[in-house]
Amino acid sequence: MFVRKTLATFVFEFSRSLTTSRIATSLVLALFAPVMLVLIGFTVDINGVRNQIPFPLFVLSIFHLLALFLAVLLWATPVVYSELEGKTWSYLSVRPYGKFCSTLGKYLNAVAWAVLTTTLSLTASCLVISYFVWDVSFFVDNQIRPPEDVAKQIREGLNNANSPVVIWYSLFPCLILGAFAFSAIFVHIGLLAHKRGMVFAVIYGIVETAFSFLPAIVRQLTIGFHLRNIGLKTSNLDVSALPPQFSNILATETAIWVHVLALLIITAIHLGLAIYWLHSREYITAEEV
Amino acid sequence: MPVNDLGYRTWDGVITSPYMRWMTIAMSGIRIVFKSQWIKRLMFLAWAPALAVGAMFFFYEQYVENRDAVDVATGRDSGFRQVAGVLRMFSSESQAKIVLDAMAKEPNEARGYVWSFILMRMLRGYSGWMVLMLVGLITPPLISKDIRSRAFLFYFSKPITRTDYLLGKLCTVGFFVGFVTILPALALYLFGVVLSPSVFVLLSTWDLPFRVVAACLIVILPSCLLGLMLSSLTSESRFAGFAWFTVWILGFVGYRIVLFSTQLGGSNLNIEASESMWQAVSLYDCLGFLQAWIMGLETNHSFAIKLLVFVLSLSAFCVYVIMRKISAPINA
Amino acid sequence: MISFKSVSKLYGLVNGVNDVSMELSPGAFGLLGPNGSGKTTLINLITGQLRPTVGSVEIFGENPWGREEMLSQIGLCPAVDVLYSNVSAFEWVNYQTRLIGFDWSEARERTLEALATVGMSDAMHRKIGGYSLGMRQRTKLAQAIAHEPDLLILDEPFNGLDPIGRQEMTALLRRYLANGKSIILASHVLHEVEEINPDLMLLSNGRLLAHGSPQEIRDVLSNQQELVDGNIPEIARPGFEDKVRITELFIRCNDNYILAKRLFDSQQICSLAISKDKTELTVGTTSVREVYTLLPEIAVKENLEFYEFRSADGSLDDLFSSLMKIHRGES
Repeated sequence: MFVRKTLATFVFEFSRSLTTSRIATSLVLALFAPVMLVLIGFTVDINGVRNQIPFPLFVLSIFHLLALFLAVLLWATPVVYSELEGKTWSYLSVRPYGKFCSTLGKYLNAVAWAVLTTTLSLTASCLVISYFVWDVSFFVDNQIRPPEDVAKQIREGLNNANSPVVIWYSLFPCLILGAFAFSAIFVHIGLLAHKRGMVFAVIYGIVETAFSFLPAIVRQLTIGFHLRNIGLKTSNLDVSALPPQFSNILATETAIWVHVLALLIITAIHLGLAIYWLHSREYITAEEV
Repeated sequence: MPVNDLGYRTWDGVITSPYMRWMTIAMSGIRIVFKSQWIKRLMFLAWAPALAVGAMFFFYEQYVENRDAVDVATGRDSGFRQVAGVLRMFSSESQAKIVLDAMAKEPNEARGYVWSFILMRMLRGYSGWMVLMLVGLITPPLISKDIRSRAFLFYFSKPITRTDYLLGKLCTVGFFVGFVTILPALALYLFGVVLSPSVFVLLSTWDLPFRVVAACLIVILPSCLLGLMLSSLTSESRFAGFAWFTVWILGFVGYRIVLFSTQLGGSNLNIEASESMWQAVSLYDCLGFLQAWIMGLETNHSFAIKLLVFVLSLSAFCVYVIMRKISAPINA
Repeated sequence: MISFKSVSKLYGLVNGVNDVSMELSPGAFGLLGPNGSGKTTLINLITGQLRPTVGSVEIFGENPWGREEMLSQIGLCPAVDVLYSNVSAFEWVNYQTRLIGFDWSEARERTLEALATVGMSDAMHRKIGGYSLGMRQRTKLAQAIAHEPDLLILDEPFNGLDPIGRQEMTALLRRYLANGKSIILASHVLHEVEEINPDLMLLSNGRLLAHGSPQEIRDVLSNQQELVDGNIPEIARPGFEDKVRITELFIRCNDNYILAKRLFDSQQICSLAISKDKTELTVGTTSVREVYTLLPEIAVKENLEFYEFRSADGSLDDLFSSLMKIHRGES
């Protein structure tokens, strides 16, 4: 019954959020990265850059983690505050387990929108990147190349961290896992400080990003660190070949499954704490004071 | 027994000037916002760095008092090298060069630049972030709540114009932002004067208070207008807050990636990203450049004028949108 | 059904409810009080959304805080407006019903039935943003009754309803009561609260002023002999300068002058006044029972025909006003 109610909330919230303004907001977030890449592609010598670092992977990972962060900020942080502000919290809280199921359903809605937005953004960005850095050519001397030559070049390209296909399948799982993890944290923050949730979430994001780059134990507690490692390992990037200022920060020997497990544990902990706050705190609308 | 007439009586007192009605809206807004504990904490915290930054004035003045011109010329002046290191760490190359060149010639002439630099650190390094947080805290509900509660009916059934309304709301947020930017910066300047060995420092730094106010206003006005515009576009304050942070974060990151890319690989158009219209992508950097220009630390006047035109156009656009949104309930 | 034992609720330094004790059996209850009297706080304590600062609350024998299963027995129609503007009534009520725990098909059936009961079948697929206030009110009621709760709590349910709507609402509530359910109705529309003949809970400044049936409360008031500053009557009789509690009675009969003349002889009558249009006699008395005893005798003797008889405490408005006066120390 708990699952049924949570899914009912998810379906209701998802259909309710299909408005012009919300779709437009998601599109703006989704198109920011591809548009920036187009502008960069025409003004910056990308080939000059990617000879030094895996520029497409690097740039896309930053843009899309940012898009993920902002999508989750919009959808996950105000799960309770939106109901309190709209004075509809009473309807949910007088249902048996209503506040828990509605919060979890909204959490799933936040994850869904974050995944949709960032997947669209990633796909569009990879298409843009392929225009600028695609190493496969179908023609030589105005003649069509033999298919086996093209296939061989594609296969070689698939092992290259600059390849759009590699970038897509290395970043996509990061975005999925990141959506679940960041949404859980932001839901937790939104329940702890429902009036100023967004401000605290932004501060959290800045602090977390800084900590994730510290070569210390604290980075193990950050989501960014685990996502970065998953992306790097999936892309088969040789971290040791990077300039020292990058390899020192990014290099790690831990297996992928450890990072995935860490993310799942972080997600579960924050969701658990969110449920606890819902159970123990009183949420009232302003009129009731 | 005489019976008193307690019925309606017309007002025959003095009515305040119609040009000051916006103050009523501003004062009311300020009182409401000031009830928040978080706002009070932020406003208190805003003054804390002034003390730390103020120490820089003291150390510089002590250095100027005790330095030897020959050591500077021969490169044996360790103090000068330390200052140069600090400048290069916390500012752009062009800004550092201006200050260091002036210091190498004559420290009394350099005072204006060095003090400008110190004040810029305060404005950029700390006050800038405070503006971001404060406006993000205060502006989202300012107009969106009026839209949600249909308070326009109350406002515009009184003899209040749209301009009064906008000015009142602008001053509500402007008061707090000014409190954490202009006042600490001016206090810092006075702190520097007080810590100087001689009152004649005023002769070489008399223009700094005016520059500080102008540099703060160039950030306060467009930021507050942008925040109010976003608030006027929705009845739910969380969307306005989200849009506010999104504009700054996306611009900040996007610009830095472009900057980083051109530094690594060069530009197809042979333009340094730091002095191209790429800066317009990031409001933080755009306004920062204008602040540095006002403080005399940037000399690319033509580029600064372009950015100024961009910022003023953005502000005008925000005013246009706000006025339209305010008028919408009246015209409905 | 509901038990409050010395319950107080503080919001920081603001008192929501103050030392409220009461036991409510199943039935109908009217919750009356001005704005800020603590009605919504009381409702939130009953529904388990708030915990009492002091004291204990029991609903159906259990503490409602944290007892999520118990909430399926409660239906709440709050005073606040529904603000999901881009959702239809059907979608929203269906969602609320599914949150009770019903599966898709049963929730759908109940939703359709509830919306039909409140008269929203025709408009149920339109967006709530385009509804009138009365339509939103009906939609709120539908979500409260869809799961047929044992206890229905309504906060200002008559807001925005036209006279026909109010009648229909009253009829619906009566039917609900007839099915053995309980209702708590918080309202300022006092004469409509009276329509469902509830027991009353009168709140002011967080305190429970009185609790019981209207007749019980009137009896308490009529038996009171507290010494107060009385109002100066229009025709003051000597001997009534002392401070006594005066009750006013309003009587209409075919000859008010004769009635006044006969009543004047009674020692318990302290004032008599005839209205300007001469249709109503206002009698000020220290003993309503005395007047009740006299009237039939006078009616027989003088062959009078009575059209209307009411006391100043005969309507809920007057009842509440009297209680407020006592609370303020004025009577």
